[in-house]
Amino acid sequence: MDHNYSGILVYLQQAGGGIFSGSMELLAKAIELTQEDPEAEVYAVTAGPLSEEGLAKQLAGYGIRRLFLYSIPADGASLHALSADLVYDAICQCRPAVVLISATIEGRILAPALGIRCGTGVTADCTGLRLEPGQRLIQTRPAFGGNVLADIATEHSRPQIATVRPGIFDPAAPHSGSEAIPYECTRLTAANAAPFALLSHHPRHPGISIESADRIVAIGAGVRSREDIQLFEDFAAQIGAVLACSRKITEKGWLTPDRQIGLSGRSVAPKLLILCGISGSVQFLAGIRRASNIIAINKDPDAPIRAAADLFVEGDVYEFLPALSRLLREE
Amino acid sequence: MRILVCFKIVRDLDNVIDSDWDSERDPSFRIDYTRKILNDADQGVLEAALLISDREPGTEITAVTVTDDDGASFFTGLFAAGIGNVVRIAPEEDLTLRPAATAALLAQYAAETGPYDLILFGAQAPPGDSRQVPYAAAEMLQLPAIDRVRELMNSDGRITAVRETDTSLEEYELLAPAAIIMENPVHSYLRLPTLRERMKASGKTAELIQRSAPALPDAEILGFRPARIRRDGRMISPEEAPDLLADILKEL
Repeated sequence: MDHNYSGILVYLQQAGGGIFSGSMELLAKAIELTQEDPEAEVYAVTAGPLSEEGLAKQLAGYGIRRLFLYSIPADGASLHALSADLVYDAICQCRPAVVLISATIEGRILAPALGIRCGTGVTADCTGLRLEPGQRLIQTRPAFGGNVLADIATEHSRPQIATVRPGIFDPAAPHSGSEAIPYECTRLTAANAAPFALLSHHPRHPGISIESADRIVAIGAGVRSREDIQLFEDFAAQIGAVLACSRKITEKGWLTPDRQIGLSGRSVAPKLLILCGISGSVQFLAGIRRASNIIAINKDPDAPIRAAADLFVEGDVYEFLPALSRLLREE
Repeated sequence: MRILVCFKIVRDLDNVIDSDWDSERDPSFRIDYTRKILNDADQGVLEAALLISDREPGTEITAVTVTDDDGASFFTGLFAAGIGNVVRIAPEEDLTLRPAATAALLAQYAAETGPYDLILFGAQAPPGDSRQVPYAAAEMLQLPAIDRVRELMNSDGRITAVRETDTSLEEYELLAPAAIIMENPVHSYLRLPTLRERMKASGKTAELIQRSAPALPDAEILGFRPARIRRDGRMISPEEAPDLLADILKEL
């Protein structure tokens, strides 16, 4: 193994006119991990349409040793195709021991491609990171439907690449009085066009962020029809909650995928989660472990969801919710 | 047209005994007593390939899986559903949570037996659900990849893909060869073959290839530990629940 790798490179994903919050969390983690090792520096790489001057100023004070910035027009398909090339270029330049990428849609595509190009291992969807002497990264991730945690290390190659779920770490806060960070900017065109011709693009209403919701009402197979969803929408609105669902509902096309909770959906951490007609499959439960208070309503007293809930109401949601809604209105 | 569909036979994790999740285990953690099922995410992918074939007779479909399990009953079902060729790659080592090695075996098979116009994948599979295999395989094969595909359509030699993101629905024209990663497919279940189709397929067997995964640096498992957070699951009656929940809502 080549021991000439040192430091942590963080991929800063651009989103919504700024840097994605999950990437800022990774920046904070990188700074924390390197504090004990004076030889370990923090680098950052980003690609997209944000201006270089703005980014360099925005990121000043975060202790980044060097920023690799690739300026490219806003064209999601082109960026998607190019991002592995660009991050690989940054890796070749700074030779980090660790590369951290937020486990977004983009990050999940980027990391495996980088792993193959670098000839190294990738650990996806980490929920814990620990840096040992020699900049050996211990990566912790859920496995077997989230029922166990696996501790993983990339022993024989560098860099060690990990994607991390958003919302696991706290975002970085700048230090005061720091100078603007050194950066180098490479301007690219969209000449390396997306490999597939876009025939049509239909924007939809901006997705609901169930990951950041404090209150969630989630529905599952117990909902009988698309029309019945209105009952749950109304209840959710009444208590200031967001409506989410299990995969059974998105499979039917009754709600969009951004509302889906579970292994193939989102992981949520609300203060209150009310589950209506959800049985509690392993895949679903993996997405609700960080919820503070879970209340499940289900006709089946033996449903697996009962063991995962704080309170379990054995009953029909179609009778129970209207009763609860009436009581809340009266109060 | 030639299509390669990568699928996986997995253990039904919903049938694991609760206590089996709660002990510290070494990396050889296995749950062999649970029943095997066709990975949910791959059913729709297999069906998508068959739908393409329905629209373009003469399409050759090969379904390939990397597994040390003998999945004879599943393979018969695939033949009966209309898959022309089923291949089982039996690795010589345990590839649990080793997506790069799994991807390498699939890519190697695709390179040896290709070219394929389309290589189809489901988005993820237990026990890792890491979503790495499709992208790693596409990278190894130097194929353009498109993800979050819900539907594939073909007519007059053109292939289009409907891709769904959180904020948009997009339609792309695909140029072969390409890797397609399907997620939440419109047709999410594999068709059920008739009894006659099953009987006709009963004599067919999957091609078995035994090989060792290419020596690739990969992340290695150090160990497993319990993750389940048990909650009280206190049962309350529907009669007392509204008042109790109203109080909780006031507090939170």
